[in-house]
Amino acid sequence: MRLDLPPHAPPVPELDVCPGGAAPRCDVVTTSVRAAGLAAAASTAETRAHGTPGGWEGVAAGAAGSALATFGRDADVATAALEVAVTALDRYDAEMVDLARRRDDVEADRVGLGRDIDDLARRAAAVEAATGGDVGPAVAADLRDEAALLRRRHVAHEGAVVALEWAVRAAEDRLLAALAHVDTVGEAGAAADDPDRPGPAGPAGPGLPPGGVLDDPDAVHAWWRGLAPEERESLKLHRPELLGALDGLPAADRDDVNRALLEREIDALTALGAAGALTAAQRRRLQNALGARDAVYGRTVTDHETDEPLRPLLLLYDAGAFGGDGRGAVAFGDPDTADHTLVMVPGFGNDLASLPDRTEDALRVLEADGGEHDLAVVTWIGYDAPDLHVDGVGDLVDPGVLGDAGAVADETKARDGGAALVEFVDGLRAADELDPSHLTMLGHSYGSTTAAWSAALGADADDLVLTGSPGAGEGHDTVGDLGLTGDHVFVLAAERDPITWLGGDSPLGLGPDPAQDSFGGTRLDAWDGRRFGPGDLGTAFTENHGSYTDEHSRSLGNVVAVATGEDPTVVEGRDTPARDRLTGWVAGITMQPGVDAVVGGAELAEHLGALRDGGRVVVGSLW
Amino acid sequence: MTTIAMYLEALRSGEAVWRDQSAELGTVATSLADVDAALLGARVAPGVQAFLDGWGAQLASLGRRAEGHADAVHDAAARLGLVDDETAARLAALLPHDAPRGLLDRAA
Repeated sequence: MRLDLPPHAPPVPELDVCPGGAAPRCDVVTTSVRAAGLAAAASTAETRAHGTPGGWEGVAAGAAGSALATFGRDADVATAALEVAVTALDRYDAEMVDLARRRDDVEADRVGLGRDIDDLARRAAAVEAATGGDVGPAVAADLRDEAALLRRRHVAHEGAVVALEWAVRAAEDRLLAALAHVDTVGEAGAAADDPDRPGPAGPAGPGLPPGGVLDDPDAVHAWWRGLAPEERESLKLHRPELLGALDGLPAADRDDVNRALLEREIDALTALGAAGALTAAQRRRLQNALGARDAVYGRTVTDHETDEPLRPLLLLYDAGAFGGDGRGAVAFGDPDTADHTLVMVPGFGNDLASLPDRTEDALRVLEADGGEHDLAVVTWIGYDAPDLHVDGVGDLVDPGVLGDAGAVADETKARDGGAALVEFVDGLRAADELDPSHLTMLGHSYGSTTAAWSAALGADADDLVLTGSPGAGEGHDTVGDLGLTGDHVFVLAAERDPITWLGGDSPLGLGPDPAQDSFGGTRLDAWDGRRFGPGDLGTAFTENHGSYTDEHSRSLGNVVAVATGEDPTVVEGRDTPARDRLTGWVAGITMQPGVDAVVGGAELAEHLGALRDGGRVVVGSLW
Repeated sequence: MTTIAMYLEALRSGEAVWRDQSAELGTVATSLADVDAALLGARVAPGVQAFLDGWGAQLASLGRRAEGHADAVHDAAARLGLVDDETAARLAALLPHDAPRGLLDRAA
């Protein structure tokens, strides 16, 4: 019996966009062009904002005024060209992402078709062998029907390949046509003067929403969704600082803007550095920017849905915020579409430069989940965490040089940070595109106090996790004061984490110890931590206080469980005051040579000098 | 004198603005020149590269013009300062030695 089987189709070529690149969305070109557009738009605005000095008259003044006007016009023309280019490139990026997925689907169909062809050929050969070539008419008809079906699939596959090629070509043509529309100064000038030019540079005006909208994330989201793509792109060039931090904007749009701001800033500061002209403040700003870059372009994890590297989203970026500390937020996974969103709030000592270290915590959470859930994890350093900026000082410092770290002992930064976190979470909620995400806030150390304050101030989170907490904030005596019930407040407190000894009535604490049974939260299982003495205090801080998200740890498993709505492992809350652990440990110091005083927890702050040992003072830097 | 001092301040501020713009536009022009348009695909790469090269050159040109304006403003401020100093010196010579001097001290 002869079967008319279709041939095996050749592999569907991969798109040659971003060849060899790891990112599913190859938008580095777009980001660079957007950064150039930001600079051109800023130059236009700067020129127009500055006139010649008032009262200055004469030929020189006239020449200066003319130079300003001409320069401003030329900068605006360049801006108009880049507005068009960025809009076209952004669309091209999105189209290529879709087409790359479509290509993968077509290729999967091809592989399946080839497998089915081979299978039918094998079965037909087996039937022939079993019947000695005398295949009955009914069986032969069935086999021929199957072969006909495979031929139709082959034709459909070839059609899909052609359609894919045409779709790619059409996207390419659209991009080239858009660029050709403004590839000369004359054409770009016409685009600049176009009465329909969108956005702030167009005749319609600033392009911003009416008053009050910017303070309301839901209104921001509705306004943004109502804009045309060209208007959005124009606004990104002309109002980048505003949009990059605007709560309610989609995560992908915030990322677009913040990446361009980041690239522009690194380029500018690097150029200054090469010229040896960086001030100390600029040097720190560059350090912050490089930290943000490492977080965004550094290590990531695999997106289990696409098998591609997960593309981080830079949701917040300001390298000069908070007196030079900077602020930033990075999401792994898209919080606008994820089923579960975890917002991690680091504590003492963290600034924008430390963002890559903190995003490692987020990546470990995702790795521990292993793609089981649709989970987005956000590292949020959007508040002014207390820190030390004394070079060469480790975790043992003299109180006289505590500097900003003195703020650890009060809650001002936690309360202010909590309020900022309320707004950030409101923005995530407003930008949520699907069913409301299950949203968890997790604070570590001083960040736990910040997260607790945020809950108390009304953050729209479903669950709260306080890890290594020095206290839940003054006046927050029970979970009810955080606006949540006990089954939505989770506490990770290692028994030998010295920071968790401070809550309650310790003078160094920041409100009640949330691990207390009386607080009403749900305490989760965690490693107790190793025993330590005064000689290895720093290591103990690192290991016992800084290990809640360590790989394979019980605490990390519990973080993942809470963040994904699964059941965590619960343990009993503390039934003795937190400070008992502190006084017990301090008492142990008397057994060490060279230490001549014992102080209780309540006296510790007044007697730090008594703990001096070889010039060291026991003050943790890992709150 | 006050008016001249104000001019000087405005001119110095203007010079700084032009220099900042020169630096920024020069930097982004360099960045555009470093963009690898081949990432967008072989068929579109030549067109995109030509676009980027053209506008990169335009931004670089703007940067150079900004630098030229900064230099011109600097020179204007210098000339104005010279006139200012000479005038102040002449006035100072005409004033009683215990008269309020203010800006005229600059001429000393």
